[in-house]
Amino acid sequence: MRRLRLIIIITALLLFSSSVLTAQQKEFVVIVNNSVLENSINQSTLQKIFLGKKIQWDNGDAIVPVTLKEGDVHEAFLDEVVKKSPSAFSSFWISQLYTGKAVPPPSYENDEQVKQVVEQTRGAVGYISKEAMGKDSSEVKILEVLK
Amino acid sequence: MKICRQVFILIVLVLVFSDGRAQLDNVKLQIHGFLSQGYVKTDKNNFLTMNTEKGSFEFNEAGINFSIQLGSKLRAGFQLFSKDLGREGNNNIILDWGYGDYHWHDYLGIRLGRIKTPEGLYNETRDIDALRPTIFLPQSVYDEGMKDPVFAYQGLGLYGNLPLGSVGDLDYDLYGGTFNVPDPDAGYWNTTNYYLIEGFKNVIIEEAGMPISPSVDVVKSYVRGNWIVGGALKWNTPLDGLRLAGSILFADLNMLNKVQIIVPINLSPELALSYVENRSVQVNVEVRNNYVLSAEYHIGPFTAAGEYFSTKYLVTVPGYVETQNYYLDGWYGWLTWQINSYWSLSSYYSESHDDDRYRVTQVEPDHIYWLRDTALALRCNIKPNWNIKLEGHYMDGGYHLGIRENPEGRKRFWNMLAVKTSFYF
Repeated sequence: MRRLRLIIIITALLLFSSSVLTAQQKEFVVIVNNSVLENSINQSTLQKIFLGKKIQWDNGDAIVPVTLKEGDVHEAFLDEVVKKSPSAFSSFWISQLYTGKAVPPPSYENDEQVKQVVEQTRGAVGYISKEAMGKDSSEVKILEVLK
Repeated sequence: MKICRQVFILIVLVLVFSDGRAQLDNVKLQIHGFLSQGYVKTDKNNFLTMNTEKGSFEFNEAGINFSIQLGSKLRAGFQLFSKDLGREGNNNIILDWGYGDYHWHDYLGIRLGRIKTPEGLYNETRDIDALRPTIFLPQSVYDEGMKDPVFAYQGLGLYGNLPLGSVGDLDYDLYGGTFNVPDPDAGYWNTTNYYLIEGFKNVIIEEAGMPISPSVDVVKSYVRGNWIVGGALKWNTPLDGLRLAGSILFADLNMLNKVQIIVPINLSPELALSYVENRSVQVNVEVRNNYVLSAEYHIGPFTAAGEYFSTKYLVTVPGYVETQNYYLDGWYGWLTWQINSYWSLSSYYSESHDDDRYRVTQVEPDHIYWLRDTALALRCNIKPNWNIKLEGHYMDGGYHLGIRENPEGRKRFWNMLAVKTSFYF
């Protein structure tokens, strides 16, 4: 009986810690190239950018969205900003591609690659985990997302 | 042509199995494609132009597309497409779409070339099996036999996205041009010709002024799409996952049939001759108020969709038949449950009506003027770019069934089973 109780407690703790860990992993920041003048953006506007419907910043520069290929941060961003599941997001872009309407944004394996591309590409916007952003944010700018 | 077909299929196969998303970054050229193969079996009636009573593998599609970004606003691309659907397609290669696109601003872009027609929620993607949870789209709105006038147009299209503040945003399309009918000897046109011939026989008997039994056959058909104009609106509502849409088009086409008439002249039991005459018969068809109203709602793992379609055809055979009106309409309701990333389960009910039944019920049974289709489909994503689907249909009615494919009559109650697999890259 004691052993059963111990197993239940350990399982509960593991589940709790994993959910906390997941929640921590899912925190993301939206980053833009330093050429972008905006400091904040509406969630709906950001959604349009990642669905290819908004193509220019307010200063006329072309918007270059970049995405992560997969992972918790990718899923959290799609869920909170684009309002689509990864498979629905993928299907949306396949339909655009196969009807010639648009080409999907380039996707990268990890935060470092996304950060590097955003840093080097005028007008670029992407998302990475909060931890990957670090304290030094001089290479890219964080864009505040307004609900 | 056969070699071209084989080379085309081979290229698609090589790219599919090499997981070959060819992307030449330095020139921003992208190459993608898809390939699908299916099997359809019915217990009665032959569906579309396939011999489904015996079971048909003549059910495939393949496409390969090339897109290039020429600056931040200008893009160009094209897609080659091949399909086999019984007597239709036969894996001939056609230009599916090919156009230049200048996306000037969020609210305005211009496309010039051959462009997929924005009609309903799924018309533009109807040939890409991998994008939907079922094998067949509901025929009430996406009639395979009559898709040519609404498949793609050659001309100019304007599009954009208009913000509506707190009530969401609006995607719009406006377009105009001409269209092709690549396979006028198959599908809907073939059935139309059957009725034309029946009417024609009576005209020839009247012309002869005596009782004769002419044999009339359409030797060759040509269809020319004269013009098409239309527009579509999609309202992305402030309620996450809900979009409402409406689209309308008008079109005009001419069908030219090379008709051979054979009149037997029996001079005596030993001497039978025949009189042969070739004629050209033109049929003018005007498509009016072809519209679709649509709603789609995503919530969690569920997607619900419903659409209503209506159209009116004005058909004239100059010199033979005065203008006649034909009304078609239909609707469907569709629910999909995405169980997990591998499995999804879908079901729809679709109902089509051809209002011809009010004019010719004395000739044929009522049930050939409707189709009530109850479908259940299971999809499995074996890999992210490879899926397989299994689908069953319980059918009531004979609409959407070709008259030549079903010479012994179109049975009212029938069942259909289909399986299909798709790859894309």
